[in-house]
Amino acid sequence: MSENHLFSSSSLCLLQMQQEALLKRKAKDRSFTSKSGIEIQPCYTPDDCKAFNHSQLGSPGSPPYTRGIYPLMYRTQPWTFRQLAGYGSAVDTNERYRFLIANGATGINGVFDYPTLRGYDSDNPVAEADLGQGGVAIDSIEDMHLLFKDIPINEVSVSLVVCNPVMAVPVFAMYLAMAEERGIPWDCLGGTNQNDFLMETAITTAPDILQPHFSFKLSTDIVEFCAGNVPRWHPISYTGYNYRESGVNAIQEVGMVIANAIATIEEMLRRGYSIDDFAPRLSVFFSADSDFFEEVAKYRAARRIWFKLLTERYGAIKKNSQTLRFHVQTSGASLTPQQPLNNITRSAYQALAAVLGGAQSIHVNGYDEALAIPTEEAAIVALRTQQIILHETNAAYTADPLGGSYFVETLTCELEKKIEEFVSEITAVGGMVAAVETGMIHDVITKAANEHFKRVRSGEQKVVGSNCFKHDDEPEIEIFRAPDILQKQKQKLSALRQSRDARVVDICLEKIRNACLEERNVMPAVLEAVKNRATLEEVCNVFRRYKGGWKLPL
Amino acid sequence: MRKVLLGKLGLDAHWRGAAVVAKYLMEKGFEVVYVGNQTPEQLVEAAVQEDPCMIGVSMLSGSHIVLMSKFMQLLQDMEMKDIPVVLGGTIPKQDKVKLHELGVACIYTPGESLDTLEDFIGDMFRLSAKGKR
Repeated sequence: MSENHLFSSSSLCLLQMQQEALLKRKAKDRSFTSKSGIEIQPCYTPDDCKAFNHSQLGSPGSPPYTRGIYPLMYRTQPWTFRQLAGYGSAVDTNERYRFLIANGATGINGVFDYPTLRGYDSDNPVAEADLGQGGVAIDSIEDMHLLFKDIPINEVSVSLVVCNPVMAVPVFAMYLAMAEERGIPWDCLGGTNQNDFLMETAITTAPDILQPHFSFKLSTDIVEFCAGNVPRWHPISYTGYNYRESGVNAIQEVGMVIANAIATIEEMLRRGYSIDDFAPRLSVFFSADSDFFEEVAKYRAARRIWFKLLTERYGAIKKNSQTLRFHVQTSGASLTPQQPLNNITRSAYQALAAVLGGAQSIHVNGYDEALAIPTEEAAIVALRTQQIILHETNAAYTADPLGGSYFVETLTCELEKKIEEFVSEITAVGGMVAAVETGMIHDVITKAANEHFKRVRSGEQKVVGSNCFKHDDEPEIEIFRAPDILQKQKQKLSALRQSRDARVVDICLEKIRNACLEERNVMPAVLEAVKNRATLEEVCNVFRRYKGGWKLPL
Repeated sequence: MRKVLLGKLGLDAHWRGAAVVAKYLMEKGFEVVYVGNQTPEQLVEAAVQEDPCMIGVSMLSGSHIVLMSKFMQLLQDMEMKDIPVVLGGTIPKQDKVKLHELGVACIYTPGESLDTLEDFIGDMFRLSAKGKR
């Protein structure tokens, strides 16, 4: 009996050992790497964090700001619930803004339709089919008045998704002129422009693209103008989110943001400003993808790199110059049109990563965004996701809750190193403008997008409901349809053209052209033009005729 | 070499999908001519110039019904309806029937992993072997 027992126990032991060996072999065969290709260990110990010491970490609200930019973080400065909204006409979108604010949104995040984003008026035949799709149509300052009607823009922080400098200049000018006509001083205005020349020349495509160096010049004109005139506005928000959506990984996302910021800083210094004149208002827009810990570590590494860059290289003194402030959007590209309700879960984890990483403002995607712009229901679920994280999970009680984790600190150090290496690669080709002009950035994006595609296609990267755990028959879900606004926009434009003084508009447009030719800041001339009811396209045509026609080096 | 004409209709800004498909088709041995953003008229004109064996359109802007209706009509007017047209992008399920009625031969959306397109190309090769195109 005892013999028998011994025998069975030892064979059980043998079986266990065999199984463990098998599991180890299996684990060895499979690679465990983060989405950006960093190898992940089965367990982290103090030995892994040799590179890490407390001075690198600091305390929340203290250099090098790895742990967040405020001492008490969300206790005193809760992140802004900034849900993206925009469709149809200015009146339609004004309604959606007010709906979101009534439901607890604490900031506006205004997105524009495709024609507006590329500087075409609604009555241009090129624009017709895309009117009011994916954002709101803005043709003139009159639309800007309608868009912000009854919204206290001296109190609510307003983010304008004016991503392409070609249209960021006139649309931001319309916003400023609208405030002026409402009697609101510019120093009361708080908000953000995207205004990123990479969006115009590398991340998105259009028929008639500005030359990269000129698009970059326009974006810096806004930075310069705000430094002197709109002190609480963030004139630029480097759109790492969109870089990421176009295909790159977390390392490249942050690296491109940093290299792009270096370009702005160098140009502003060349124009005679000192670093603390403008750096306090530079801001960033990051993605929150699904690789949870990599995303948290990414935000922490980005803050540390920013601090080092601004202090060591540029000698910034002001705290706001040294601290990286960023908005986060959960990843749109990670969402699936299949089993769309799963996207609520994805977005919630992504938003939690942003909170644990210390974001200043967050947009959570609607679950239907792989199909269309969100229905009202999807927009509310997204907002509620943020409210659940803040009010129910208690995750925001303490600053940088993952600080000190062997794993997260090691990952933060590894990402920091790799991001800085990637920035050096961009510097080596002559900086961000050159990296775009030579097509280096387009190459990086295309390669990364193809690699991701192959991983998904082979099944190596699992996408639940899409390449695994599929349903044969996908039910239809309700789709939001933007209203048809062509006739309304045409009527408004024709009334505008009849009521304004065409001769004055022509003179204004000529002044913009002269500012371009003489390489002066275009903002004052554009402000005058939009106040005199020049349309978006009229201003953008001046830019395109001067330095348009660039083709993406694809 | 079999040539594919690839473009985007309207002002849709996303090029990642088109670039990935272009690469995929090149690896399958196709010559790909990518023409970027075009109006329906311009894309038909490009088709006349390039004489492709297939036309790929990428759309993520939501304006696919309006622009594809126009494009397919123009293609018919030019008697080029026999060139198969493939549409990729964010196309809601409820729009697929209408688009097929317009004559779009193959539609695939994000996450379909190009299987639909691969099957379609396979069918096209077999058709081609029978001398149809």
